[in-house]
Amino acid sequence: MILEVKKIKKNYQQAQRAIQVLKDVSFKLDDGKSLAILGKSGSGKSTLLAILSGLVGPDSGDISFLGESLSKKNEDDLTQLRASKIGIIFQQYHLLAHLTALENVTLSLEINKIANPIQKAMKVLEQVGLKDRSEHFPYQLSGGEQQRVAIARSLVMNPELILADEPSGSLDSETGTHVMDILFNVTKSKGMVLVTHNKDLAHRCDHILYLEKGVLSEYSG
Amino acid sequence: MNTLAKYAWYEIKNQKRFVALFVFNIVVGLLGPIFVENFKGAFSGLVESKSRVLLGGDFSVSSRLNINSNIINGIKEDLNADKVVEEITLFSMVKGKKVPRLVQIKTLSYDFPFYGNIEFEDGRLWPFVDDVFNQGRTIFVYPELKLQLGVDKGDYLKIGKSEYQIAGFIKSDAGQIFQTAAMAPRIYMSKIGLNQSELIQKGSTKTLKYTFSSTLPESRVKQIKNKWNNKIKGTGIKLRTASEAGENIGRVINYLNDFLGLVSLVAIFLSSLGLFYLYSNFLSSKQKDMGIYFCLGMKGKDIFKLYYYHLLFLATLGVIISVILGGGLFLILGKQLEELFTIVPSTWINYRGVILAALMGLIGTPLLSFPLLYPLLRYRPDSLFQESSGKVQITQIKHLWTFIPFLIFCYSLSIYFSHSLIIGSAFFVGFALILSIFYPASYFCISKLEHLKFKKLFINLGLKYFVRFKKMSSLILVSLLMGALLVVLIPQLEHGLQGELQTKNKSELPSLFLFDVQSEQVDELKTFIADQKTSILTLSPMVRGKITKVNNVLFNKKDETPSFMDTREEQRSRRFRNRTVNLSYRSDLDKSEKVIKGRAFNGVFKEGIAEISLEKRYAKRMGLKIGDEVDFEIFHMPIKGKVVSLRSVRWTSFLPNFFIQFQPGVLEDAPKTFLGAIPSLENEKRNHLQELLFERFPNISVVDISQLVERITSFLSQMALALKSMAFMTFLAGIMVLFSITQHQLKKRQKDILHLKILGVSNNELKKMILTEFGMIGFLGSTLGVFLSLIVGYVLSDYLFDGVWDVGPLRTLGPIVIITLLCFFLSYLAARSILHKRAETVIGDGLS
Repeated sequence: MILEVKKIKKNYQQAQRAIQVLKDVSFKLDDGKSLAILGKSGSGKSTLLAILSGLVGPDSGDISFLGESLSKKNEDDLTQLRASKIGIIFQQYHLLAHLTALENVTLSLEINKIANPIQKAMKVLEQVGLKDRSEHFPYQLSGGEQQRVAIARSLVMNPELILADEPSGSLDSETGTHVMDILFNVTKSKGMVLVTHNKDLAHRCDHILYLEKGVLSEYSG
Repeated sequence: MNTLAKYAWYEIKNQKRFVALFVFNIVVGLLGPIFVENFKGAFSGLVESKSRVLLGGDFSVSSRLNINSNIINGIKEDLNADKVVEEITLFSMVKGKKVPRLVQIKTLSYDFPFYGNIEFEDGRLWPFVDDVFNQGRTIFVYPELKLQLGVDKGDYLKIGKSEYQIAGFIKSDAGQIFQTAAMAPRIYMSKIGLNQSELIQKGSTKTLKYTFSSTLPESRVKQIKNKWNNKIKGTGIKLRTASEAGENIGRVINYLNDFLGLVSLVAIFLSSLGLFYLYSNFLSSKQKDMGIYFCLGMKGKDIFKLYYYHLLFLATLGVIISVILGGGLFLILGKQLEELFTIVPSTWINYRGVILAALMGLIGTPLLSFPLLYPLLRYRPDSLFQESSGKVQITQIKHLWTFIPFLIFCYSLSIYFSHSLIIGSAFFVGFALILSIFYPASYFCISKLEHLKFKKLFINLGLKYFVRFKKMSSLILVSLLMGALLVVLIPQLEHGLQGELQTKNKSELPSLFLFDVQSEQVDELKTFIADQKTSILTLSPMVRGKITKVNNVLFNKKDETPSFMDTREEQRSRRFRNRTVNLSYRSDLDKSEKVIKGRAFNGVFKEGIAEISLEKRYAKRMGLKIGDEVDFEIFHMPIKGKVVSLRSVRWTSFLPNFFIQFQPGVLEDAPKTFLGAIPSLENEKRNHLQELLFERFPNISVVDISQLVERITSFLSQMALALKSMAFMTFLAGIMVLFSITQHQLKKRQKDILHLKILGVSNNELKKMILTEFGMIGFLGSTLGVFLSLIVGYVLSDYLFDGVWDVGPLRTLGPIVIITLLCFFLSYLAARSILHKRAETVIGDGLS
């Protein structure tokens, strides 16, 4: 098992009021499997992803990643984990505007001091079909291409788990489908948590859960 | 290259617009200080290289009193000096074909100066053997006397009781190369010649100087100086090594440099405001990038380091450009410098300018940005996921302490530039006060305009931007306020000072100032002046003495060796403490002075301790206060005085005044000379009186006050010109800050502006909206700046010039109009490209 989430709770303080965003959320994810979390806007999906990536800590509960509890890890360990074992894909791509596609991908490798970053990055760019666009800046790429660079970036460290936050949400349906084909293709052997409100997309995953008002349940629809 | 540095460099490479604006702000701030530092470096380098030439030898001993021959022989022996030359300097009147003039007489020996030389107009170089000169029959004369006295080579001049033939005019005098405003032109004569003139009488004001030639190293000479300094404490004798010769030279230039440095510091402060604004906006726009770095494995401290490197790259770029431009500016202005200060810039770049620029750029910029970078150490991204707020507070109240390092840095710069704890602190506090009062006040007042409504759409839109971007509006407003304050204040003070010297008191100013009047000449002089149908305004006795003790504690002579850490106050205090003092006595106060603390003298001295009154600034410099007991030595007689009052003296009255006044009945029997002043006279009558005085009293020196005032005001104008130029540069810095902020702000608003276009707002309306917003900022900033400058100007004028406060409508309204127009123009310039952009570019995948 790659990921086990046990009864996590998360509250946010808004004005004078505490808002419970996640209520006893629990689930498991096996190696090489994909999980879709469906939910409406404001249901707590992004908070859950932030907690799974170790960017935000839960108020209670625990997450076990590759058999190790995240709550026992310090900031440096979490950073290291995120750098080497977890790949994150965002809806808005979040590429660095001042770096080329290749530089965006090599960035992770260089931060982690991995040898031959350019060759490795080029290989992943080739996997997502962007070998010829490696020297282009994000503003010179279409939305779909930018998201493919983001996917390449998340994969270049060969992570165990991919966290994807509505990766096709900013794309038209045709481009979105194409990008998701690539994503599912290149992450076949990896664990993936996909947050979306697109039911068709969710159905491409091995398992679907539904998040509503902070409560996670099996998707029945 | 280090990975973080590499990504910092990528930020530079691909953010050209931001880099250009940021570096431009650094350059604007550094240019002035680099120029001043280059100037200082060039000046001190020249002084250092010419120190032996300036002194004429390796060591000198000087005093206004006689110097015991044992001291001279002892020093000569210690220095192993092969040559010693005695020089006598005094002031006297000289008669040629025109009105008699005051000149400085200096004796010259055939083997002096030991270093450098005196060049004559006919090409000869002194020293050379000239028996006629040595026998006292000829003199060498400064060229300005040619015109002033109507004489030429071969003509005769009457000096004292003898006549001397002019043997040559001096073209350049190595020892005088940095003289900026000499009181009187110089005449060289031999010692025999001076004796023949009989100018030196009992109590005459003269300076004796012995110059030594020594082969000992400078460090050894300094040791000898320290040894003799201890031996001769309290004798009023000054010892000076060659390297110290420059200390007194160019004191005025040093003061000017201090003030130029301070004015240029305002440019640094203004550009700091701009840099802070730009960088905080830059970091705000980088929140998402930081989040990505974080998600990809960077820690908070890595992100901190990345942006720290980023800043260092920017600062290095700014420093390099500033040093090159600063050097270029120095080179371009070289000719003007030569005319103003007789300084020829030898190099266009000076190591001092480079060091200062590097310090300010590479330390100052990161310190300034520290409050922005510090939160990155604890950075946590929360803006990357789709439903996050995306808004991150960069600086928080609890992080206010992070500004302290930069404030300390600025304070140190103020002290460094002013060389004065008092002026530096006052300057820094003044600036900090203006910023801490006007920034929040502007912010508050602007937010109160929230509900203002106008009929015109463009005014409402402009006002909305003005109000909703209150941080930016307040920042530009305060920058303009500071610029306007300086631009208006400096001319105000200049006019105040000139007014004090020239206009208001013209009829009150004496026409002639007399000194070296002997006691036995007083009655005769009074009668003589009365016969000329005029009077003597005051005739004040002057007795020379020295302070030996204060409150029964030995009044220590301070080591004259200047230290790198010396402030101007310390230098001044040292000079004053080491001086012999001129004392006087009078029963009633002159109209140019008033007691500000303590009480008037208790009549004529009878017994006990004599009462003394001190000039307030002198008392402050010497650390003396009312009630202190001061022991004097006057011609080997000990006299004790107790401070009973402090006086303020209006020195620009040009009436005889003294730092220390005794009550009557104490100094009457001491050897003394008198100083006097003749009231305002018509030119012709004044010239005639000068001639008669010269004929009747050849030993009495007469200063023509109107000529002196002319020389002082002309010199002040030159100084003021330098200050005004620097103030103008500072003003430009304020404008540049405005320009870069405007550029940045409008670029940020590009999307808004295009959306407004889509909604149907015409280009013309948009243009007027932008002009309204920035015009409002310009008008308010300049009006507040001018208003503040009037208050500061009034207070300073009252304090410095007895209330002469000169403001004209042109000098007050002019800057308001100009600054407002500049704001219109610059905002239009910044907005032009955006206004011409087609509205449909906002539709699609976003704006590039």
